[in-house]
Amino acid sequence: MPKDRLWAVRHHLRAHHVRALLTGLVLLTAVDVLFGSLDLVLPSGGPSGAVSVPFRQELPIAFAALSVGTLHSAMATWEEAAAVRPNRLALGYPAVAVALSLILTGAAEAVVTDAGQACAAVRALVIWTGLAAVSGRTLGWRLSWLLPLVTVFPLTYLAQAADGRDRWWDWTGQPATQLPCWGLAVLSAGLGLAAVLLTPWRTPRPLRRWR
Amino acid sequence: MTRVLWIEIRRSPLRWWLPVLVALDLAVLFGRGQWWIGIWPQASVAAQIPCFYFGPALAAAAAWSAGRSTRTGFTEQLSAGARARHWAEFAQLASTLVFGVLAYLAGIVVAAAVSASEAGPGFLWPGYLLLGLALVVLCAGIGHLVGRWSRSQFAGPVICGLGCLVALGWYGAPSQLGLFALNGHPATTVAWLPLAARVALAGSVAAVAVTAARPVLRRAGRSWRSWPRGSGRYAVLGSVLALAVSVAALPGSGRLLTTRSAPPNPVCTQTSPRFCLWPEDRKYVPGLTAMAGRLAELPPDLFRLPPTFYEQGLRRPDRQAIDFYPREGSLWEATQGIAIGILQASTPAYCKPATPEAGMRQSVAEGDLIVWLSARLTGAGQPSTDHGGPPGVDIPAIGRFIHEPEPAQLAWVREHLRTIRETPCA
Repeated sequence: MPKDRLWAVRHHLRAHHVRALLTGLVLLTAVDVLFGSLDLVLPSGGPSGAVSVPFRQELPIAFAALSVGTLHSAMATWEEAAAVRPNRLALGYPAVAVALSLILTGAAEAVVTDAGQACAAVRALVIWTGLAAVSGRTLGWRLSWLLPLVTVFPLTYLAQAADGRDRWWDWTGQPATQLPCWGLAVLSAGLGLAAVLLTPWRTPRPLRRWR
Repeated sequence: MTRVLWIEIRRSPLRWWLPVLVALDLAVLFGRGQWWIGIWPQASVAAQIPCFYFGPALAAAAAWSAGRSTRTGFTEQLSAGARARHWAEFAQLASTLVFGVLAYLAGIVVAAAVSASEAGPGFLWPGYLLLGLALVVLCAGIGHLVGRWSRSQFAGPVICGLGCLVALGWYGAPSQLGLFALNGHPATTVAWLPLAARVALAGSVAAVAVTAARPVLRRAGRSWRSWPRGSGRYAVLGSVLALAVSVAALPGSGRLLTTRSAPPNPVCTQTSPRFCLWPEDRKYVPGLTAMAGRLAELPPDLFRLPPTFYEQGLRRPDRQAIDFYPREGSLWEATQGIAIGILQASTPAYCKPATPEAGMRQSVAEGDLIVWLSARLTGAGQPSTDHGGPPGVDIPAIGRFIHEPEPAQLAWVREHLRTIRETPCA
């Protein structure tokens, strides 16, 4: 790679918190492996009044928030006026971050538990990443953790039907073989991609006035 | 000071989220069925449960608000202000707490209003409500401290929000640290000393969050650059001391929930046999009166009925197994205890069976009779919301069996009673 292109990539990564991203990914993977089986007792609206959830089911929220949060940068106003090549980098870098978090989550879960749970964890991470991107685009990239964290409430409190079974949309409780949750994953990935791509210069004119 | 507080409340990032918090509170209140309505202690616990979610929400919000001066690069100006720094921090933490407490109060008012028509004399129990408030203040204080001390504006709120949720779920349960309650049976109440310890802990954490700035170490010159001058020094020392004392006192203060002594006049049905309940559970009297009516339909020579059935907690602790308990408002659960009481009165005292097969036959026969009695007393089979029962018993089949003609049912019951009575003793 020519020297000036390398220089551009290095500075883009520095502005977009690459060190924090890598440290965070390593730390979260370690937490997943060491503390993932911790049982959390959360209140529930179901028949038993409380539900026991392993920590690893809610941990992908942190992965999603971290990988989408790297879209924030202190140079944001300069980057809005950037040319084609930095914009390619601006899309490639979060794609790499998301892919990295997917691989790390899947690998950690596959090692500690089984392949089915790894697939379910990857699916949950895809859904939460999409939600984080939507949250980041509407509220600011530093607040991309907000919408995923808010979903913990319906997933734990409202997810148990009156007869004790998990509802169809509970993507943390349903096994990897359930199709509707994969539909949710596809929908969320689409929404997330649209949120990241919907930059001011790509927004249609009527919507731009609203923004 | 009030003008600054009002400005902080008006400009707080939480101001657009107040409707969301209130909606969350109502969703938590009414998302777990309607059985708590009409029983004051259960309504108090139901009003307190939203604090489990308000805690992490306010921790994240407080971390985000407290990071305001770091985000905008204003820390030096704040330290050089005329008034002590802790007043500015107090105004900020108070503005975050105001929104959380407002949403909490809305839930309390709704819970009280919905229960007032059905419940008898009394009101919401303040112990549970104070526990919820202590939890909210504790989490907001931790969030404010982390937001103030952390250099990263992103990690602070995420770690506070998710971390508080995980910490509460892992260690905050009533059987462990006891920061929230999940069930408000009239037989248990919040002991005041553990409650005071938790309130003190929450207050001291909030005090530390407001007074202690991030320690800055410098290689040359004075080592603690951010050490406050004058009264601020004593404020930091005092709040840290208070925190140490309350953390030390917490394990020693005892268990959060204690048993209540039974009232001299429990509420009883006017039937024979009588069903006696805690006065707070008076809304079950019509259901139990109907149950007594269905009990009277059975032939009098079939079972020997005890004269009175008591709710759990009204009698001495050694009677707990056979006293009834309408868990989560389910009268089916209550009938299990009633049926066990009837069986105990109608069959000889327990003796160890001679052979394991005889013992298995006896326990299955007992289980069958308990489920049959429960189904007859409630007039229907096991509701879909209840699960589990005695082992080896086909509960749905018995639910259908009670609609068979009466002579067939009585013959089945007499045969089971004979099996139990004729079990050879060792």
